[in-house]
Amino acid sequence: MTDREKVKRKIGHVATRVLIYVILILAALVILIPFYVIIISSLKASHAIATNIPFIWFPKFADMSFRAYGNLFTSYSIIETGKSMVLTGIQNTFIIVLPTTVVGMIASSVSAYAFAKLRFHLKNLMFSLLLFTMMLPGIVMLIPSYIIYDYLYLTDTYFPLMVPAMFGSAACVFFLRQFFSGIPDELLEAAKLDGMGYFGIYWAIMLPLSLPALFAQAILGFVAGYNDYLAPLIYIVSEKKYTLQIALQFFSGGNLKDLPTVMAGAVVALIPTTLIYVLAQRYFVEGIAITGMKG
Amino acid sequence: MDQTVIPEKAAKKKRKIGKEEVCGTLMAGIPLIGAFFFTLIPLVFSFVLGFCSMKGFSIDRLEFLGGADLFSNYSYILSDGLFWKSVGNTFYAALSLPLSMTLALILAVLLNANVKGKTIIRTIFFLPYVCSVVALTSMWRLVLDTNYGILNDFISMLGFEKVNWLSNEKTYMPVMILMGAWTSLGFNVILFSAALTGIPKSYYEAARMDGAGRFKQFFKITFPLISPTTFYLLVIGLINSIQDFTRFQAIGFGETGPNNAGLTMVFYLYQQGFVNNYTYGMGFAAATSWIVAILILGLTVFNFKVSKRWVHYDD
Repeated sequence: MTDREKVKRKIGHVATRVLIYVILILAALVILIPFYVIIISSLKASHAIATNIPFIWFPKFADMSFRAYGNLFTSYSIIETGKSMVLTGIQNTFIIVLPTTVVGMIASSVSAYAFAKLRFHLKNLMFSLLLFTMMLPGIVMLIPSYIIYDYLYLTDTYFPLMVPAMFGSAACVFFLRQFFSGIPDELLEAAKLDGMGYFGIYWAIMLPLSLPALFAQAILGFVAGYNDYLAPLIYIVSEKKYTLQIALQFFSGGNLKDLPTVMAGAVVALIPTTLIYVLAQRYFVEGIAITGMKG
Repeated sequence: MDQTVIPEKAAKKKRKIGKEEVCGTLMAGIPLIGAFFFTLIPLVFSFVLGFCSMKGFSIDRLEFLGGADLFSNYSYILSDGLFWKSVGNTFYAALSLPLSMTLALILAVLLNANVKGKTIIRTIFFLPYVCSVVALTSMWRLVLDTNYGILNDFISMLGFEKVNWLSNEKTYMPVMILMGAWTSLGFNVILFSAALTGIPKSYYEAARMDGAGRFKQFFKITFPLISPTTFYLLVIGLINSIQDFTRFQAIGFGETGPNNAGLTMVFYLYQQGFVNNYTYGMGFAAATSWIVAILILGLTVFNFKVSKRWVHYDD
């Protein structure tokens, strides 16, 4: 009897384990299948596939090609420059996002260092102010910012996409301040005795010791900048200045009938960020679990 | 050179506190300088703009609405049926939040049960979160397509008729809710997972000794202990839901959906400011943005008030 009960309990235990795995794997499949669908659709060989026929889950190799990707990069050129719109978009995105991320990171980390390690009278007041800016809904600033940039002839330039972010972000300051607080004061005192200035201490001690934290924040900043849609949608007018996301959206809108090419565009749009995410997964999860930042 | 260095060093020692004061204020102040120009000035301007008429983009079209017309932007918006439709749509779309949070909590609890390949599964869940809105809407346009879409594959497998999801007023929002939950699931799973791993195993052992079942353990131990995270996700999620807009704009290439089914509040203000600018204008859009902001503030305050009843912070 007791043996039978033990076996029963064991079977129950195994059944629960199996059920847990089945649910988790099903959920993972639900997330992955749409990705699979766009990748397979982008690899279709035939041209005129409208969406009249159902999706083929496992197409033959003979029916697959990279034609759509070639098409994506060559089929639409900007009239003004004659260059590929999608390639120009990739170039523009990197021109905007890389300097913005680097300068913004330096600004945030300098500020975080001061908040974490220096003593000054206005510290608490300034920190509260920073907290306050974080709580304002961004949507209130959208309309007046546009009018101001328009007045200053800065629409259709990269100024609105780059300069505000170069002053650092409040969320990033919070995250790094927490990290910097963990670096022992003795280290900084020793450097001070050696005659090092405050910026010197930041540069020679704080920065090297906090590279993983900075890297985590830089990745989040890069992904947010790369994926940005609303700001370039509003501010950028000329096709030659489109970012990748805007270029792809424009391109898709005009080519909805050429499904493989539109899907190739979607795949191109998400390759860099998903690749960075998968490679730097640990930093991502840490950064998000600690700040709870929305991307 | 040497002679000048020595007095400087001496002076440095004397003014040590002074220098830290100046350096600290300047260094810490960098983001605040940005906030002054790019947040505070627009914020004040936005407030004024709500009481102005401004059709067109150039600032010389700005007219202050004095006297009896002072609140005319606000009164027009609040009597506009389309605005109230956008409010309804926004709250309807926000149903993706409880859906996503419930599923995320279940999945996080399952992941927490010593599962092999936990990291891989978590990585997969989070994948949509790093994708751009353009990529996501392209993907979902395809998934939801009438003939090509896999959602209809399943529907017809179950014996139902195929649905043109994004062209039908009744089905538009349900699939957008699904898409929203699908996208935000991973974020919620990661935060719930972090909270769950923080609960000491001994609590559960003690509860089991007292004869508490799995469900009792969940509601008496797990739920109260992760309630700060649940609360955080609810507050942040609600703030984002009220501002939900870009995916609706992108999926319809600027169209507001069948019979405005996809017109959220921020989409409404975007239309006023940038698309139908010569009918409504920037003043209307700014006023709408303040209504959105006040709604967000009200809901957040409400959330904090109610939280005292169900959120447990250990001291």
